[in-house]
Amino acid sequence: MTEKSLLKNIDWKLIFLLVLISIIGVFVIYSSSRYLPGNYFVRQIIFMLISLAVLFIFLTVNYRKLITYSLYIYIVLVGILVGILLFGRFIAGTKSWIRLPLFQVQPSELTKIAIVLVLAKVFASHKDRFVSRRRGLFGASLVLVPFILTAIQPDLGTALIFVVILAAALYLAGLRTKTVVILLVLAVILASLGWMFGLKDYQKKRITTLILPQKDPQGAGYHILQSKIAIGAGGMFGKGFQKGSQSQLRFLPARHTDFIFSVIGEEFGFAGVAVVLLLYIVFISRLFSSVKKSRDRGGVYIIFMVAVMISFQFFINVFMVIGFFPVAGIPLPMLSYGGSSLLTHYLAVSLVLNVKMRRFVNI
Amino acid sequence: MSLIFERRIKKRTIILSIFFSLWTIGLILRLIQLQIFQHARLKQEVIEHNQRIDKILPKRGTIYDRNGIILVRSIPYPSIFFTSFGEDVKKLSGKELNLIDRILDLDTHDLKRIKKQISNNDSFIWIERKVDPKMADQISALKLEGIHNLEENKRFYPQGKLAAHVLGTVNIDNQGVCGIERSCNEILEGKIGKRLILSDAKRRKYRLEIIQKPVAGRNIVLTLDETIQYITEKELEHAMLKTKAKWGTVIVSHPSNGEILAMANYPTRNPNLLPPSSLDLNRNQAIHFLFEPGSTFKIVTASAAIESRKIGLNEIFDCSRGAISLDKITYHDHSSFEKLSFPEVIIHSSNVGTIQVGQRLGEELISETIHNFRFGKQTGIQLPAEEKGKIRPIEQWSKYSVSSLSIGYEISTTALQMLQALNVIANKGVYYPPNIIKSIEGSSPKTSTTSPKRIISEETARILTGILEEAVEQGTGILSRIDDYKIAGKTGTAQKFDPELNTYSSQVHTSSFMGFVPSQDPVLSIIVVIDDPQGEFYGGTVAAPVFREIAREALRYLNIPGRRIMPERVITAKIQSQESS
Repeated sequence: MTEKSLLKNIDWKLIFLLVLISIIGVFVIYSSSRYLPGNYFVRQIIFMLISLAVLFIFLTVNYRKLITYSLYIYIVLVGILVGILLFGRFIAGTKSWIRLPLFQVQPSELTKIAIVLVLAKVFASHKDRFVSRRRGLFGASLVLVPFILTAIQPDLGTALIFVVILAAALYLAGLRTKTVVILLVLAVILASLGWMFGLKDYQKKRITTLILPQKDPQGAGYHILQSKIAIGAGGMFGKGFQKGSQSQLRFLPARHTDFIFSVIGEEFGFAGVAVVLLLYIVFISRLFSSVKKSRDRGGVYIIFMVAVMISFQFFINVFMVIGFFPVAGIPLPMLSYGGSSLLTHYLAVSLVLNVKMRRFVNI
Repeated sequence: MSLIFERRIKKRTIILSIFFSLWTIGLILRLIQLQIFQHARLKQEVIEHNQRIDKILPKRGTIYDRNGIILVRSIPYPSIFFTSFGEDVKKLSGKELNLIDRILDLDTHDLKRIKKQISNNDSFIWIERKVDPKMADQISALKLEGIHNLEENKRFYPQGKLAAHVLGTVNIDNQGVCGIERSCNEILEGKIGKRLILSDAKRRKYRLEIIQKPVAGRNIVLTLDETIQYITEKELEHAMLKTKAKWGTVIVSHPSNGEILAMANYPTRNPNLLPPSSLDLNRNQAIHFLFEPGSTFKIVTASAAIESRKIGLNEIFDCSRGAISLDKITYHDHSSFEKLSFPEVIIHSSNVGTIQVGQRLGEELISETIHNFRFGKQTGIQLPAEEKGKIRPIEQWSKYSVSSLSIGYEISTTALQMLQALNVIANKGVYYPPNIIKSIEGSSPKTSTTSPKRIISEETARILTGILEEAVEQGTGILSRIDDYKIAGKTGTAQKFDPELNTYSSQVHTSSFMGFVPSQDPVLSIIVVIDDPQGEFYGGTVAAPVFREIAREALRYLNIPGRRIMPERVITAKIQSQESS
């Protein structure tokens, strides 16, 4: 088949939703960071154009080829993660970034794509009702390596998403009830051990303030409190574009990145939030409904994992902003400022489009 | 792909969708809770933490003397405070506090307070208010986070201790605590303005809006004359050092309109050196100290005698016994006299004679005259907490009262009340209320609440003036004499009542002299009161010379021509100059 017929099969509606959400993001970033030096919204537009270009370039490569070479991609990214831990410098308190002349790259974001691909490779050949112990452990260990490397950066939020991707794959592949119970117990034990030995004080505080934010309004509870105040102050229709005092006056922390949802809440009110929510729901539903459009198991896993990854990031971020989840440093997909995150989501959607458009092709 | 797998996908997607739906419902409920039900409260919270209303302190009014010389003014002084707010709460460290302390040299009391406030996490802490601008600059140079300056006004007294008791002081918040500062606080303080400050999370102000402009305090012009005040204080201090008395007070007034030209106290303090809120200057003895006036009060008895015509001017009183006894009490004269005419009784200040006059006049007339002269009432001068003196109502008088009162005992008065009584005579019988405020900026010339009032006839005042002139010329007040000017005056030497012995002490006295000059057209009236002088204690020797020196210098300063013609003196002076040449 020619390239032309492939183009016909591209899910333009999905691309439209993707771009629409990103453009909303640009506007909100403009509103919330116009006082800051660095022209964040201009950079975001450039990131968006680059990401869009990369999305289309990636469509030309068959996803099957990507799955085939996924292990190499994975190894390269894990190598980079090791590299920044050894040679990287702290930026904003973490070793998550590679500094390039014009911008910074966060390799852990791109690792999500590598994990999706490598897990698709692992589970594509799985045809039984339940995952075998060998396959399960192999998949888990593939995730464990970048998980540890990212967790000690420290960037627990991104590391958590790796686990979500793994869980998606295992869930689809099928687990015995017994295994699920064992895993849950193990998770509880690991979590409590992590609480006692692994978590830094600031991370513990983030969790305790979730339960009692008023206890320390000037300290750790500040972010959540200011965010709730911002959303609440927006009311039904919001204060208007660029008129949110919480964000404009910098009471709201990380307002153009992790807490961008609060800015929408304050400036556009419940109505604005509802529109954004609806867009995400339509977008996420379209991703899940794309699962059955795949013609092979590898494609199914890719779409399913991408759909779960994006929807979990969305829910975790929003829950964090409204005070249901600890401040975890997970951006709102496509909307928050950040090139690496944007590129990762465009790549992820590119993979979905890639699978979908090749469903009739026989190569 | 197998059908089973497709079915499995469908089943698991549905389960996930159920979860997501539940989460979405939770999310929407939460948003409704925040954005609809808690909207009003959270909106209020936004307003509260980015808006605050701040006071704008008005400039306190300036106080001038009658010639426009500044006596008190406000000058901007920096106050240093610490504040922290916002995302990253910062505490003032002990090291930083030490750096500040090294410059300001805070006292231990303040240090303790600051440390306590730091441990309480107070968001606003005064470090030190109204500090030397140089020190404030040094502290700014340290660039400590959270340490700021606020410009406040500090009262400054350019003339130092001059008129300190009249002017008074203010506390740290510029509220008057004594003197004019207190009595005219409302006029001087102005009105506090309000401004709305919108600030961001780091307390950086981005918009100021003045809701209410501050109204600067109004300026006040006093009737005091800086030069006469200076002369008065200098002479009082001189006399105080000489007599080693406990305290002294002098009031100089312009009798024809009741204006106070000088009001001095000793001991005194420089208000610039006093700590804020100090009450050191609270007791302005001229209006606060009550004393039994003694002989100066005889002008009241004499007024009653002349006004009522009950005593003839040529009547003779036998004073040869030097004492007069009423049952248990004996009143003595300071020296022995023969028979004295009524004027001579006053001129030589004979107690024996005056008591006879008083007894003849009777209780009712004495009481009425005392009240007519407004004793026992505040004079209404615009100074805080004026004493009104003590005089028993006539019903409570004993059989000694009329005798005691006629020579100035059994009554307590302030120096100002005594001067006011004298001013009635100086003013040909008319009482003018005393006045220390000449004008207030922005208000029409004050119409006094108590208007001038005739108390004795012009004739009585004229006769009494003549008698008081003679008291200076040849009587007890001779040391107050000045060549070229005729003076009318009266001395007073009161024994002080000793509560421990329950009798009048022969050791402790209040010595006074009061007079006006030139006697026929008075420009100045002066009272000098010296309490408990050591050594010499007669009013004529202790207080009269003070009067003389103040009057001489003040008259020269005021360019008042001398009217007294003294041919003999001029001739002798000529002879002397011829002899010497």
